[in-house]
Amino acid sequence: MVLALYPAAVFAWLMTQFGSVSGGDVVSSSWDWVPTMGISLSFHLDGLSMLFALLITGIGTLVLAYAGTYMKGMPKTDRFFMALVLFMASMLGLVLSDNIISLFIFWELTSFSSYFLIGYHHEDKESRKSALEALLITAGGGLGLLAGLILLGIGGGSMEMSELVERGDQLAESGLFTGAMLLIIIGCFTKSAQFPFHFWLPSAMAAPTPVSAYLHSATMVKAGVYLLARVSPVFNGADGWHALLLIFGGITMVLGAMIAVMQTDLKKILAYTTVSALGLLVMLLGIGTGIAIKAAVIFILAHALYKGCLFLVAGILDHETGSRNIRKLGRLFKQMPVTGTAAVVACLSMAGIPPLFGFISKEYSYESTIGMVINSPLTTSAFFITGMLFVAAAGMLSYMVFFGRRNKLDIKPHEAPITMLVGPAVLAVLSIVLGVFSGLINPLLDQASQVVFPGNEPLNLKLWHGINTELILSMTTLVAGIAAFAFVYYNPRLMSMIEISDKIKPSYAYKQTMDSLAELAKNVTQKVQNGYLRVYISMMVGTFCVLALIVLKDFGIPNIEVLWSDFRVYDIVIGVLMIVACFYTVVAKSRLLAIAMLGVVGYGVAFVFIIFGAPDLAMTQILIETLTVVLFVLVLWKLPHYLIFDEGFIKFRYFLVSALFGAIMTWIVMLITSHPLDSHLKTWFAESSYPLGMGRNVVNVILVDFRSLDTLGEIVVLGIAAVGIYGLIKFTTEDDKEEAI
Amino acid sequence: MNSVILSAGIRVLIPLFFLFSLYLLFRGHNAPGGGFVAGLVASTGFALYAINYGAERTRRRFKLKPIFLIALGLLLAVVSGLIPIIAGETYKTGLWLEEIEVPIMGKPGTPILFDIGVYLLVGGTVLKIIFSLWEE
Repeated sequence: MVLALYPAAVFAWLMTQFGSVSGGDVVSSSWDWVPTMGISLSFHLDGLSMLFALLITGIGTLVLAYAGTYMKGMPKTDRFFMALVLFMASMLGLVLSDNIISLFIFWELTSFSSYFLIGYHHEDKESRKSALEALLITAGGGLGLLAGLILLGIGGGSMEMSELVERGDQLAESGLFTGAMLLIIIGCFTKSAQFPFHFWLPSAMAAPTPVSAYLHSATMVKAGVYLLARVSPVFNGADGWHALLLIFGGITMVLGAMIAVMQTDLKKILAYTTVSALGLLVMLLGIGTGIAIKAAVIFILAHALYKGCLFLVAGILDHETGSRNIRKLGRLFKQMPVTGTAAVVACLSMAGIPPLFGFISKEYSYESTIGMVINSPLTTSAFFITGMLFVAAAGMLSYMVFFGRRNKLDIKPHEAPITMLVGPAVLAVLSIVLGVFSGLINPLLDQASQVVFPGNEPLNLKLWHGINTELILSMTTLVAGIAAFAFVYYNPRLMSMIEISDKIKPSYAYKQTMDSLAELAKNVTQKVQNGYLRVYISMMVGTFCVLALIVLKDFGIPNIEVLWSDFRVYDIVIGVLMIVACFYTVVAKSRLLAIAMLGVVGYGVAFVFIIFGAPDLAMTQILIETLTVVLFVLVLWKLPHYLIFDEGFIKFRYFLVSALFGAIMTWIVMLITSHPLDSHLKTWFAESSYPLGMGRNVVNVILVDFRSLDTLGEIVVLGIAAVGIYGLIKFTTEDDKEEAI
Repeated sequence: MNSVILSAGIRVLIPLFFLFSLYLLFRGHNAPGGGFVAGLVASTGFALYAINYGAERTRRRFKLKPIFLIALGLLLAVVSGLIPIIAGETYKTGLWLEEIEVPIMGKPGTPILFDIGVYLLVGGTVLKIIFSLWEE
């Protein structure tokens, strides 16, 4: 509950900027992050960002307040709220980012936090599967998006979206236009659940309902639409842009609506109508005319208001009755008057009935499909079908639940507590207020449409446009929709008989791909990771040798003159000692002897370091050798005492790999020494060590000061390795242990 | 493993190992030494103790929590880089108290803090590995 104050504060701040932003001003601020790569944390608040930011914080406040009650008594709510607030922040960052890289980072953050939210019931297998599905699809598309944004940045010569939107021509000249466009579209389609990626959204209904209300109606799924709208000034006008958005948006729209009316689960109906609504938005952006952009902007708001409300209502019903099946629910209005009223209002808006805000939205959508130069009849009829099915779905969500037949519930339902009613009530009231007094929101929506379509004619929202084609179509839709609803209502058996074969669903393709991937991974793992350490090491070394040879083949073997007189006595002694130790390491029959011999080699190397003036290295080397022996002794404790390597050829194989590795390393060292090193850095470090790093030990100063970021990376890896080793040792099952021995 | 020599010797050696590691840690900035080596020395001492007396006893005797050491080390290393940001510099700029001169160590500064972080993390990592192996 208290948490809700946080987005509420942001909302309040945004409202203080409302006047200036809707007047056309832009609020922005920027911090450098990686300035050499043009990456900065720059934020930009214009009409479009404002619209989204208001939705995110406004609905966020309501959802948090609602979730406080909804989640009461459930386990691990702290984790849940952390993920929810994290999501909220990343979503806000996403719509406010001007820099395309930071935008991408926020984009991915929304994917990650939604993974935690969808998988909240992580003990449930379905829930985990849905979360993973959503993550893989949206993050997979995110990879495409990253590539697309980088191409956009390179082609347009800027990393700031506000500059890029004016540089469409420059991008076209660079030849990266099509690539950038396609990749960005893929990213947005996956995020906004467009066909054929739509199936993750209905699966994501495994999330607790407040999450669905928030992520899957107003925010996360709209991120793709937001980005498409944001880059629209760049790509609008290109052939591929129109065709792709129009076709895929249209298919998603019709398909989503059709599947929606076949469902009986409240949340599934809502999910599929959301898919459909997203399709409509993409289609409108694809039409790309001034009026279509206006229609899109209006619908974003209308949809967020009614869908958010309906999801919250679905949550209340689930919470108070224990069922989300519309065939089981019924005649609940008397027991739940407030919830019922909110739901009915939202459904009327969804059906597009005046004077609700949804009506205005629908009028504009009709106007834009009718106004299309080509394909107008097809698009208009697609929208007609969708509108009709929306009316039917609205009927299913309101009439069948709150009126209609008597319910088949075991418990006696009662009204939800006030904290849960606030959310849907506020959203429902907004649907009415903004419908009747559309002037309130007009300036903001106008600005948003100007951002998406620079130079768009001013928006002038009105409830009554007079009797025109749009109105007649709208009314016909309504009548047809009511008829469709009646059909669904009176033929429950017929509806339940409709079954779509699994094999034609895109989710089937997804499942097949994932299964075969897992199968492939299993096979490869069994081959490569067979549990023999020696095989791993020889593979690693062998791979290195092959890669090194590919690079080295272009270099000759440098001719280095070595004079016997250069060697000092102790050089030779250490060298001979190491060679002998190597030999005994290989032929040793006992593990302990082999390790001790290996230790001798290591100490020999340490001596070499000392001789050549690297005491730090020598000291580390000696300690590492000592520790290795200690560790080995600990491990040996559990291993058989003697090595059994009778088959000579196995030994020969490892000998070959080692010899090759040794030869290549020697070659590399020879190559390095034959090129005089650039001593410029060496001198710089030696000279600056004390004045800049306050230390006389150059090695240490480099490690902890000059290159301390590298060291930080290394110690992080070290820490992770420790945790990994712990896991490896601790979490092997008893069976594994027996096998390992 | 029970060796009279080791068990008698290690009792005396442990404080020496530990002191020596601290010595190496703090002189590291001006002479051979540093957090990495010092961490290895310290953990070698405890490792020898563990070989003789077992991991569980070592853990209890010295109240060691390797994971805690790793986390603390990482935290110190990161924080040492963040301090300059508060002072208005970029991340990981070395800040020094130039007027103070500490024996062995020299001037205290954020890179020393970073080195202490490395020391804790390396020590913790080695101990974690050894304890895990022992308890298997």
